[in-house]
Amino acid sequence: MTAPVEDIAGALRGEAYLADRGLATVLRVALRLGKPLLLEGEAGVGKTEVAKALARVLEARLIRLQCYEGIDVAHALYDWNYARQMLYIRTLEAAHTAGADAMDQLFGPEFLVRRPLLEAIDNDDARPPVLLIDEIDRADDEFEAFLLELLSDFQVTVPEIGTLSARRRPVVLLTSNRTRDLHDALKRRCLYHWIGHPSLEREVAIVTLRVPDASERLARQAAAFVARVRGLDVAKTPGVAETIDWVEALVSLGETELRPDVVDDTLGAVVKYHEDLERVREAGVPELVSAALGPGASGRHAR
Amino acid sequence: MSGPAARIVEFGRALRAAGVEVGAAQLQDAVGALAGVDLGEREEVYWALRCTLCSRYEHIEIFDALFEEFLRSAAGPVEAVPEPEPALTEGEPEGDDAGTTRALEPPPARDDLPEAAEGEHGHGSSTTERLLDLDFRAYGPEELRAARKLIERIARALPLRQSRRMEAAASGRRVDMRRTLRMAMRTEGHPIERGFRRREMTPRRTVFLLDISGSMAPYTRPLITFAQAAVSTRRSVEAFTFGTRVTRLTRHLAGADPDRAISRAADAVPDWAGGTRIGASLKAFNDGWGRRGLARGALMIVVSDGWERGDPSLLASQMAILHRAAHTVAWVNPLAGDPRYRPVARGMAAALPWVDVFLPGHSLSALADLVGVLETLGGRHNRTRGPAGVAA
Repeated sequence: MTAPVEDIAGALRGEAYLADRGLATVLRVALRLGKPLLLEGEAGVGKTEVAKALARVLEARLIRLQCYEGIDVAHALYDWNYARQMLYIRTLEAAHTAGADAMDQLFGPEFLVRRPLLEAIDNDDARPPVLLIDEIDRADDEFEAFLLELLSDFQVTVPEIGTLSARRRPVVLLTSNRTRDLHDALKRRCLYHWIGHPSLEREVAIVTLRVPDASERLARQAAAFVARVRGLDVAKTPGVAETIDWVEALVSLGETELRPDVVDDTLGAVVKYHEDLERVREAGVPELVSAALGPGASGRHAR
Repeated sequence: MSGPAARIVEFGRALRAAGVEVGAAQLQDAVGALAGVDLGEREEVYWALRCTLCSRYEHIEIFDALFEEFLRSAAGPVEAVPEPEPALTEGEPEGDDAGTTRALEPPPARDDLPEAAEGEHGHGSSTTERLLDLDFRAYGPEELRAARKLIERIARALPLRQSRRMEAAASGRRVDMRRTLRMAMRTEGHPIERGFRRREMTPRRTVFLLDISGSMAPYTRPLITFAQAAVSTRRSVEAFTFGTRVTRLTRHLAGADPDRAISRAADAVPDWAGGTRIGASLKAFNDGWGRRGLARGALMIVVSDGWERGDPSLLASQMAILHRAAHTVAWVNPLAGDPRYRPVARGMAAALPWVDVFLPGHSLSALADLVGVLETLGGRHNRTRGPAGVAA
């Protein structure tokens, strides 16, 4: 088990990640129970960021396994360096030194290509690493079943070498965009947390934390604007990640508050589909901007 | 076990009764989680319990409601309850299949009738022949029972596609280094014999969207049997029903016993034999599941007579979205089994430009035709299609 972090929200904030009470409590529980945590939520709400920030807080290595369709053991766990093996055989042959121990070496650690899961289990780190299994919903059933086995006893068997087990269990985070239902057995192994879009106040806080150059006024207006876009029935709802990107873009353009023409030019940072762009323009960029500036927003300078 | 633990067991029971799967391991985790939080802080207790006892987005609402009750009851006296009884581990949620089946009456017990669809005896095969072209509309419980085996067999033949996953092969273009090296050891390190890898074939994800409105009622039972057979044999098949709203039925339809699966499904669907708003339903599907990835590269099978009560332009725009995401959009319209049928209903006409395969599916042989046509579109089929599909 990892050293307890009492004020995990504060520690994460120090790493520029603003966790709400729920996430902070859940992370504490996960570290305490030593169980994997499954994070679900729309794209762009900061699921992957949690793992990165947590690794920094724990001063641990982050090992990331990005899942995709067709991922298998050779990509996730280990593989052999076949080209080197082949060369090795030929060298032995040329030197007429091939013996039994040479064959053993052929399938020794030297020729083993260690992939993220093996790295996470067979580690010598001073602190247990943080293993991020990203977008598990993209992998297929077989891979899920394999992971399930791995997560239950944190050991793997490499036929040529033997069984390797984790001396110190990694802290495991899994993320899913919920494109498909994960297997119940996998869910039973994990704690579960749903990350939703943040409230306006929280989003403003996140943006000012992540883009220190942005004025609080710009952050507030941008967050209010994005919140309205989320209400517009767009295909891909913008997440906090989009708000951050957008504010960064606005700051780099020297903007200090939302202006309809600049908003229109930079809208691509907020909505990523052509239909969504049209949907936003249909709703009227100037109207959305003035609503975002709203009565609460302080500055309504004419430019 | 102490007081809080006993109350958690109680809470777990309430969750299970409401359909949230909670096992003994989760209860144990919940107890462990509570030990690490401030019990005086309502929010901490809430999160500690939610992350251990609720593992599904859809269940959060139920959890929240029951948590309120839990807190209220927790204010009462603490009673000592012994260890959770073993039934907790495997106990089936009570009342799971006790519900009524409303629109879908399952056929009576099977054992008093011959398994006609097996087709091994004279009586059986003649029944099969008679059934093949009989319109589902004319089916009684007896025909349905007899046809079930055939429906299941047809459903299992749904098409495959190339997976990104590789498998060993005797020949091909990609060398399997691992096997080649192993074989080279027999020939002093010379890779004389080579192993290959090729893309594995896997079932293409198939999504059924079943219209269960009143006008489809005569076809609902056989077609939902078709979907059930497909769902229960493959994990890559999803089923939804729609009428006035969309319900995901995959979990309800999974399981080996079709009668129980269908009655579970019947309990889960709130809008049997009601009105139809196809466009709005498709939108709900696209927004809730399709765009998130369920429709991507999938074989979509819409089963509907195309009677749209809503706005046909919404139907058209949603079909366009679906068509862009999916590999193939098939529309099964039982009315099209009649040679005089013309797709003039407003909804059907609006949807057709976005349909790749349009077939009736009103009888067993029509279903078999459907699967046959879909198979020719599967596999190596590349998508370079514009809006106008087969039917345009």
